Amino acid sequence: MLADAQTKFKNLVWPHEENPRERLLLDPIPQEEMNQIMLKPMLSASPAYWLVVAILAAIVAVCIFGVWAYQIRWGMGIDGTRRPVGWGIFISTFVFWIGISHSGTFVSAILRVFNAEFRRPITRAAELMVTISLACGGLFPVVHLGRMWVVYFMVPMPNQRQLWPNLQSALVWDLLAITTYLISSTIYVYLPMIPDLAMARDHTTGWRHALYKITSLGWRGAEYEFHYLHKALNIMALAIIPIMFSVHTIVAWDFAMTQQIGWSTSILGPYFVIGAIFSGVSAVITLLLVVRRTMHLEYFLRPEHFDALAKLVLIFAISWVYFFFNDFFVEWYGGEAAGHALLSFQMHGGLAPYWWAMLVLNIVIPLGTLWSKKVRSSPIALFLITIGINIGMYLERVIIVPGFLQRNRMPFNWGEYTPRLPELSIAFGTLAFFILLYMLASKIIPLIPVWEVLEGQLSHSRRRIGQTVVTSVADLE
Amino acid sequence: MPTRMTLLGLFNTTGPGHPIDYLGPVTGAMDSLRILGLREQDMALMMGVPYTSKMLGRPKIHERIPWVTLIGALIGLGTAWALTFATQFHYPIRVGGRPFWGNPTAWIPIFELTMLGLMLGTLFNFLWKCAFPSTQPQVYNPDINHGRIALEAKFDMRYEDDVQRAMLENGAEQVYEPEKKPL
Repeated sequence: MLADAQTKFKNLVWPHEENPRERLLLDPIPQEEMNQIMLKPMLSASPAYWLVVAILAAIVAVCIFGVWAYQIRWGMGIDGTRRPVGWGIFISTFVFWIGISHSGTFVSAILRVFNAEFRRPITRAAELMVTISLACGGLFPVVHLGRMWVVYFMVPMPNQRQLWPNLQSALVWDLLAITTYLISSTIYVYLPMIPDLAMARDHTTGWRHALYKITSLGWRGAEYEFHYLHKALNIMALAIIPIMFSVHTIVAWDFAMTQQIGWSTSILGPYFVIGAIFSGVSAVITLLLVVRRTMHLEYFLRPEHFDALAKLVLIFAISWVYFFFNDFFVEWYGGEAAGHALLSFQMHGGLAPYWWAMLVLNIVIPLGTLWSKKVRSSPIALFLITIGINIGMYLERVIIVPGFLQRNRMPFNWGEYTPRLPELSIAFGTLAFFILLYMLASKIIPLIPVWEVLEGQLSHSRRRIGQTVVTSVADLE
Repeated sequence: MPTRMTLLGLFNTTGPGHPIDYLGPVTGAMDSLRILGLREQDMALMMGVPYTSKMLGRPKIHERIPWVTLIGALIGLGTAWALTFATQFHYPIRVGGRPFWGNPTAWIPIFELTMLGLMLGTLFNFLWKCAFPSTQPQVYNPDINHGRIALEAKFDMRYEDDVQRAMLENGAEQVYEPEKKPL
């Protein structure tokens, strides 16, 4: 009895001191050991890995390129898009992948600007998602074009008709924004990778050594090299944030600049941006859980990182609800007949299963679970919740794009849309394409920025204040 | 006959209770070299961990304005202006109810291309400042990935023994005359 009381008292007065080794930045290990943890899964691949790669490559070959060739042969008529639904699964999936691409920039650039130290081991994996998801998303406008060989008409150069693209069109802005984002994010993922590529160069032989020798550009780890790298990253982190916001805003303007009911609203830009970050950060969690498990990166990717990311997801779930409710409520209160017809179509009509599923997956489940540290500490729970969020966000895009187009201001022009197999096949194929590219990249690119983790460990220490020990962070500059 | 030579000292950054931050030997060696008369530009460090200038007791590298970044942004801006205004003049697209040159619609390509120019300019600024890509043989020791820091000292040959002694006395594991090699 007394012992129990003493224990309680002890806990009250001297709260449990956190084990410092639970936190990556307080658990330094020798540099070479850290390098080996990163290099080992890169330099070896199990037969299971190659089997999965082969299956994914086959899916990509059949579901994307085979079906795409079939579509080119027989024309866009094999798809489900008919008047009034001109944009279907292709454009929904395009918006989805562009949304996923916001993950890396948010996790890396914004957290870098705010010196959020937990970002250090997760930035590279998230940044790589940007480039790969942009590559997946970038396929869709070309696939959707039908006659994809005239895609260069969108490029601002005089073609054989001496016709310039209309730079006042939201579609041309989209091309410019996505190209800018793709190039910028590729630079942004590449630059901080150089020291790690040099480390890989010094540990490898054969073709890998040749590859890393070229890509590390002659990096020697000199003081001035690190200085200019930091300088470049600071500029880029600040510059890429408005680029990220612009990309999804302009994607939203593809819709908002029209007279279509449900689309023509000024809130669509920020609503899309928040949705993109919401789905992107969720996708980062899903992906990091898989990377941690399959590449045995438990040293780098710890519960603290998933906990922090899950809190971000919770914040963005709340933000997304805010924008969703604004969009919904104004339409509902406004009383326009076409708007009400659209809302009714979502809530009780053909879109209802998707709409309600979206609300459950994007609102009920994340808001009902992620407040709990127990849930945020459970890899399985996080995996399922974040997968659910991305299914919900995909449904949101399907509802907004082909869903809304089925109802407009002219009831005689209403129509129905059912996606056909070629559309679903190509959309599914890009999921396999994304996983395939990521798996291949994970064998070439160090997914953890080891030098950034080391830098973080340099700046963190622990000191006693009164009855407890707290973490202190030194200013590195 | 060359009068200057280079020595490379390797220092361990792992010490008792310091898995990665044991910088006493290398900073001590640099102090000793300064006493011998070596200037800051005569000493260079190579490392696998980005120790800051303050940690190393070195003067901070100053760069007032990243000029190439600014030039890149200006090129992007100019390209965007040319695309939005000059091409409209070259090939007029007249849309009813819309201005011939619409400023608000021009802001978007201008923003995107300026930012693209800025990003590319930042990349080129970095490559230029670091003289990348470098294919020339260079002084290097891959042990910087194994918890070592390399101190490269350039000095008059007459001081070879003094420099070597200064490094060894401060805890250098190895001091040698490096050979430039392809990385």
